[in-house]
Amino acid sequence: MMIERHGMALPLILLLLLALTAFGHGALLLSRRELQATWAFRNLVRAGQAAEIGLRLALEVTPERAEDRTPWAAIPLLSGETDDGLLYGVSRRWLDGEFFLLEGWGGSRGWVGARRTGWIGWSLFPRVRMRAFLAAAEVGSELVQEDRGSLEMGEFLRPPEGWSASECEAYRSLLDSLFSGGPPPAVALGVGMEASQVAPGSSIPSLGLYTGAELLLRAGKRGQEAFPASSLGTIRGCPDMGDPVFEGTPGSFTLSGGRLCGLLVTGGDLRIRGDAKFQGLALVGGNLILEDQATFEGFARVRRSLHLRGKGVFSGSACASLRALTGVPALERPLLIQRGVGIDQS
Amino acid sequence: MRAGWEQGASVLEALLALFLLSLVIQGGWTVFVRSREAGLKVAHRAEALETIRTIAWLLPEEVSGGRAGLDWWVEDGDSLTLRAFRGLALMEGNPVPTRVVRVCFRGIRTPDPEKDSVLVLGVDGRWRVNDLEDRHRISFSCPGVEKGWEEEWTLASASSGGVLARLFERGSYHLADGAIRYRRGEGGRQPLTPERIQDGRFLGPEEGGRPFGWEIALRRPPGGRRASGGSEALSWRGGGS
Repeated sequence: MMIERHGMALPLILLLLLALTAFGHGALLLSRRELQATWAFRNLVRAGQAAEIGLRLALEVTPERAEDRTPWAAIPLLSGETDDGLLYGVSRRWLDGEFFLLEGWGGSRGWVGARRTGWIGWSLFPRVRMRAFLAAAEVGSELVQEDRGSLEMGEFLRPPEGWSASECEAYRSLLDSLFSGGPPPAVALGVGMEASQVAPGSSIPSLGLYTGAELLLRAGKRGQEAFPASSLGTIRGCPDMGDPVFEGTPGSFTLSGGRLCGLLVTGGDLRIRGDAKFQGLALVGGNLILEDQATFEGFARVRRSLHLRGKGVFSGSACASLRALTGVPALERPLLIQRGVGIDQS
Repeated sequence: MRAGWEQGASVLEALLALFLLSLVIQGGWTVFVRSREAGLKVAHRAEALETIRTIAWLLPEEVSGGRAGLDWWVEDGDSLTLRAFRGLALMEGNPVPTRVVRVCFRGIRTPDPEKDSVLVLGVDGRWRVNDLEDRHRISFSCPGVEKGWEEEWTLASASSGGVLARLFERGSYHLADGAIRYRRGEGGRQPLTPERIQDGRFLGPEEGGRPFGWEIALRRPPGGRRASGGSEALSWRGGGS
C-alpha cells in the first residue's frame, strides 16, 4: 500500500521565490523609472541651459534697422550646437520700436523635448528718443540769461556751423516727419526728472531706459574719476563724415576750446567757455553753463539750470542731436529688461 | 520490509524535518524581510529624489521670471509668496488710455479673470499691475505668433502704451507637514511632493539666497543609519536666479 506524503518545503520555497521575485521586479521597475526621471531631469536642465546660451549670444546681436522692426514678426537670429550636444536657437520679436522679446529654445542631442524661454530687451530707437524731447533744452530748474547770452532755434533743421550740407541729408526725411508741425520749443523749464529717469546715486538724466549709470558704463567710465583733460583733445568727432564721440563723467566737465561733437554725459556741471563749441546731445546732471563765445548746437537735458553768459549761445539743432543718437555704436547694444519670461506651453 | 522501516523512523524523521523546515522558514523570512527593507529603501529614495527634483526644478523656475522683493519674497523662512506667471501677451498699441485691450496670448493655461491679474510693461520700462476683469477669445491664432491666440481683455483700470503683459496668479509655496505645498490665492495647500521632508527653509536675498535658495533635510529611510552618527536626515540645498 502506497502512503501519500504531503511535503511543505516545496510550496514554501515557491511562495518565497514568488514574493522575492515580486519585490525584485518592483524594485527594478522603480529603479528604471527613477533612472528615466533622472535622465529626463538632466536633459531638461541641459535644455534650459542651452536656451540661455542662445539668449546670451543673441543679446549681443546688433538690433535690426528701424525699418526692419516689424511688430510681432519673428526674426531668426541664430542657432547652433555646442561641443557637448546642447542645441539652441533664438529669434527676436519686436513689441514696438524699442522693446523686443527674445525667444530662445534649447535642447539636448538625443532628447526629443525642448525648453523655451524669453528675455525682454530694449534698444534705443533715435526717432522715438528725439520725439520724446519736449524742447531742445529740457531744464529741471531755470534758465538764467546774462549779458548777451542767447537761445536760438533758427537753424533747427539745418546743418550746424562747419558741417557740409550733405551731413544732414541722411536724416532729412526723418527730421521732416518728426517735426512736420514745426520745431519744438527752445526750452522747457521745470521738466521733472522723474524718479525712474534717475539712476540710484546718479543725477544724470536718462535717455530712454538708459539710466545715467548705464550711460556712464557704456561710455567706459565706471569709477568716479573725472575726464583726464588730455583724453578729449581740442577737436573731436563729427564733421566731414566723422563719427560722433561718446564721453561721460560722473563729475563736472569744462570744455575750454575746440570742438566736441557727439554725446556727452556729465554727473555734475557742464561748462563750455572761450570759443569752444559743442555739437550733439548733452545729458547734464548739474548746470549747463555757456559763457564767453561758447556755442552749443543740439539738444540738452539738464537736471538743474541753463546759464547763458557773455555771448554764449544755445542753438537747438535736430540734426546734430540725431547724428549723436544714431552714430554712437555703444547705444546700439540692447539693454536686458527681464529674464525668464515663460513662453512655453509644452 | 520497506513499509515497516518508514513507520519505525517516524519520530526521528519528523524531528529532522521540523528542524530543516525551521531553517528554511527562518532563512526565507530573513531574505523576505531584507528584500522588503531593500524595496522600501529604494521606494523611499525614489520619493526623496522626486522631492529634490521637484523643488530644484519648480521653485527656481517660478522665481526666475520675477524680481526679488516685487514679484516674490520669502516669509518666515518656510513660505515663498509670489506672482506665479502663467502666460505672456503681446499687446496691440493703444496710445489713448483704455481698459479694453487686444492681445496675442500664449501661456500654460487659459486666462481666468476670477484668479488672474496682469503685469503690464509700459513704454517707460515700468511694470504696472492691473486686474483682469473680463476676457474673451477673438481668434484661435495670431498672425506670425506660433501657438498664440487673440484675446480681448478688459482691465480694471485704463492704461496706455503697454507693449507686453504677463498673466499671473497669486500663490505661495510652503514647507509644511513634511512636503512642499502650493497654495493658490486663498485656497488650501496642495502637496506637490511625498511627505519626506524633515526640516527645511527658503532663503531670500537677505539670507544669502543669491537671490533665491532652499535647504531641506530629508527623512532617512526606515532602518537607515549614518556611519558617523548624528542627524538622521539627509541635507540638500540649491538655488536659482
